[in-house]
Amino acid sequence: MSEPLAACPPSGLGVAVSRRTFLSNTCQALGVGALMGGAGGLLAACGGSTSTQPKGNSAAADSGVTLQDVKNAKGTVKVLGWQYYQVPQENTASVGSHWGYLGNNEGTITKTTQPGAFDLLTILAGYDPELLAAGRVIPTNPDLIPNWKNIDPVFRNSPTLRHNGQLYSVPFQWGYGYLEWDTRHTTRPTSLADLMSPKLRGRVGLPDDPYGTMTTFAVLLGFKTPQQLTRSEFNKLIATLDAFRPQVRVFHPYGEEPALLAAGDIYVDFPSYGPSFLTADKAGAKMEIEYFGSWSYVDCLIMVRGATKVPQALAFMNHCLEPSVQEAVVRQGAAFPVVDAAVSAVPPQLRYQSAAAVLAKAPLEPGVPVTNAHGYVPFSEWLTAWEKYKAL
Amino acid sequence: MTQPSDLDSSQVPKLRDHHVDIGSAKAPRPEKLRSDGWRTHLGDHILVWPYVVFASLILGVPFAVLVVYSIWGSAFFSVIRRFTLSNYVTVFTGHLYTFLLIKSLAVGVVVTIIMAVLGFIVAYTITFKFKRFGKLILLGVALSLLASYIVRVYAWATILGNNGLLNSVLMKVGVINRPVGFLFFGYFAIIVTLIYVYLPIMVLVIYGGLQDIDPATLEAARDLGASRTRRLLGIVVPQASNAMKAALVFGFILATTDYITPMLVGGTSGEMVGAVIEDQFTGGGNYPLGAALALVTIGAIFVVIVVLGGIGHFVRADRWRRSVDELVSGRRRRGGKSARSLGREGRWPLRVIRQLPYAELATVLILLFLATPLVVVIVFSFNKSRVPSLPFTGFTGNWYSYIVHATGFATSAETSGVLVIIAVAGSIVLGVPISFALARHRTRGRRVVATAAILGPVIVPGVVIGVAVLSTATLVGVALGVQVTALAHVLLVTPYVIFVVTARLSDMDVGIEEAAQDLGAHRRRVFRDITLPLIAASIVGGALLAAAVSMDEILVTNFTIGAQSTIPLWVLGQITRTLTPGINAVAVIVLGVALLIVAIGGWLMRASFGSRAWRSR
Repeated sequence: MSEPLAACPPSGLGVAVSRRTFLSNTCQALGVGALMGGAGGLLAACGGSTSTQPKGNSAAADSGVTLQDVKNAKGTVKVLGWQYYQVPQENTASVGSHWGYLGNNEGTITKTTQPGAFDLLTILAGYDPELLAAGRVIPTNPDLIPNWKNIDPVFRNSPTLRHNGQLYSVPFQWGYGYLEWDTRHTTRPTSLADLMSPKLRGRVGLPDDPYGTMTTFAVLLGFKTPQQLTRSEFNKLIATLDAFRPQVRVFHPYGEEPALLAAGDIYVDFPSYGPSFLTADKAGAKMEIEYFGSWSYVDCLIMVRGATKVPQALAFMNHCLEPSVQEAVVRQGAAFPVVDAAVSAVPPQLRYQSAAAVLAKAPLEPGVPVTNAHGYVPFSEWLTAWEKYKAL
Repeated sequence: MTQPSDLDSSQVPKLRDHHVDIGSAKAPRPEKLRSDGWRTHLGDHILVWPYVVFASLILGVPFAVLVVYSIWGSAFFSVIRRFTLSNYVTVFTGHLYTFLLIKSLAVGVVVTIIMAVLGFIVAYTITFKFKRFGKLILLGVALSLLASYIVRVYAWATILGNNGLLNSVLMKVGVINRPVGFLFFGYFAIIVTLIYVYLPIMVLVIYGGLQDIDPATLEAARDLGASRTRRLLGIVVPQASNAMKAALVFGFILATTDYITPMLVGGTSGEMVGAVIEDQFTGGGNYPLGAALALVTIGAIFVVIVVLGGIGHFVRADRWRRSVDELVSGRRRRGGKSARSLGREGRWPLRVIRQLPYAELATVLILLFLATPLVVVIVFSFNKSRVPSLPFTGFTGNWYSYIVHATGFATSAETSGVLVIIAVAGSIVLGVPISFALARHRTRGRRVVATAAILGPVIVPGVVIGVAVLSTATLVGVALGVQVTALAHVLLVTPYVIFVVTARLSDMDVGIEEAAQDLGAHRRRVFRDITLPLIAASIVGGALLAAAVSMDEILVTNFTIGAQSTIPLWVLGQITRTLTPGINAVAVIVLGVALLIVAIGGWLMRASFGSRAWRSR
């Protein structure tokens, strides 16, 4: 029998818990029930579900909220997101924000275990299948976000934001991966074979991110749907990664690669994002970049199940789509605006004519499936394969 | 008249029998302080149970759930309530897990052995050689821990990297003509950096155990002709054996379970078993497998400790002391004459070599090893470059301004400060009493319970504690944030206070306290006027360690802090954007603030403890 792990009621911050409930729960937690079947209670607190169907497609948390409520909202929302997306301009006189930071996408489901701990998430839309399967997120009504219209249609109408006909992810920033290399040490690699050259043995950096790196290799191998891989495609991907292993010097956290390139520890890095090559360049490397195994992502604002400040969260989302806020985030961050009016804030070397033109070269990817129900290799297998790849 | 220098080493054992039991001296087992029957019994409970109950509440129940998890089935972020041993089968048959487990244990053993030797040398020299400046150096060692751990680890990239300081120096002096690749991103860097990270902790624990060795004993042994090695192995090591054992166990657990340091410096060799456990509790969503893996890891660590303890017991100090002593003192004949007699007879270079202050030289080198990354951090916090490593492109103070004004830094610093204060206070309140019970009252049952409660927070992987605390808080309806995190921090740092204070108490002469009681002093007065001043340095040392651990804690805090942040989490967030010299500036700011607080605290302590009233008491 499967034990759904998201069974606990919203009892987080600001939600009253009766004395009886508290005592009963405490007793369970103290072990009275833990080993006698009551363990299920504690286990249930860890959240999640075996179901692959989205659990958040019941009534949205904002179903009773009006536009007037959003306009009049006051308070502080709790955001779990990437630190580089936090800028003071996101806060207004009436709605502020407290941030907890993401270290990687993979920790999100565990971190959102406690209902009410967060109101909003900033995470890529491609991670929606996992969040939905774990019952962590709920839909949002775009009619309650007046600045929804500011979003470039290429993102606004993207099918990756919607599941079962409902909108879950409100686009916030976007980006694409590229290959960067230091011309002091190597010439332009134009193919995977070039990257396999003995000259680059032990001189390539890969981000320690199975989602990003394995998708990039799948694109390089020419798979039609790089994140929906059949078993044979997946095996070919792993074989390619294995063959590439001697070239790899380090699996690094994002953000470390400019220092590694500048110091000459690595000559090539991919997939890299945002202003990575500009930073390496300023630090002394001579960088060039190339669309190479490129694909795009869109980081979104997503309402967390159990959010306690729904009107405030909607007001926060709306304000984040103001061009001035988008510009501030672009200037600080590592990505591009979803509002075209803010493109002027993008560094000249990365500025683009239209997002659609970039997406034609680096398509948006929908995310890796949670289960193998449709015959595709699920994300858990990607993760295990990545662990083995790194370790053995 | 026989001069001490004329003594043949074969005579020494005879002398030993009349003076100090050099060969077989063991740390004097502290006798039980006079028992008052049921009062002592009650006192024992009061000393032991507060921490044991606290640890059981925060860790024990989640640990029990971990056991239950490990024998249930799994699906995506869920469990299937059906008994199965499949998780254990996966762990033991999966080449990945056994390989990583063995690799982590092997790295832990190597690092611990090196740390034990280096740690002992430093603690010994600080105690017996650098008498005047010893405490200042020790304070420096302890304070260096307060500069962000991640930042200090990253500093090794600047030292060992391809175009790093070491390669540059070696190339400049002509030792090599192109950078040596193996220094960074490999096992060499993993071992060097782990030693660097945990050596100060070893030093502090061993130092506590050396405090009760009377230098006069060593002088007497020297006067009686005992060689340097003999004095060391015959007197110092046995008397500090409790502290050494504690340091070894502690160091081994820390080095084996750390996976962040290897990940940052190990390159493609940086994957450790802890990382795979974390994966199961985060992206993998396979809690049962993660639980089984965590339990197997814990079990394996215990097995290694027991095996190494058994080997240590078998190879008794007095057996190997003799062979080492013979080797060093040169009793092995060379052409009919011992090296010692050769040296005595005149060959001056040999005499000079024998008289060199090796321990002092080694300590200076080890302290340089500990200080270099910190110097790098300070220097490169002024680097104009966009990256916190070489090349140094110019001087600027802008990174400090950037950090002070950066979004979220001030609130993160405030949260860290609150957590450190609560963690240190809580760890002293809970840790010092149990240290007394462990050092003075040796009831086996309670000792086992207490030891489990102490080792638990250190040995259970941080991510497991984090997820367990998060789940428990959710279940009982307690909001995530500073309060929950503070409780977790108290749990995590208290073992450090217990280790340091217990090591000191175990090697302390209880005779002084008994004498005071015999002279009519009340227990409370004995504690206030004798015991407390004697263990004050250990409590301060433990508190500094606790502060350092709390200040750097990431693995648990990551899951329990909710919509807030601490300095290390903020630094990690910064790194995901770009690694800049700003993170060096953070470490320098934190270190500066810590120095200021310690200086003020020291001044206040001197003002109160140094007062005439206190002295007269």
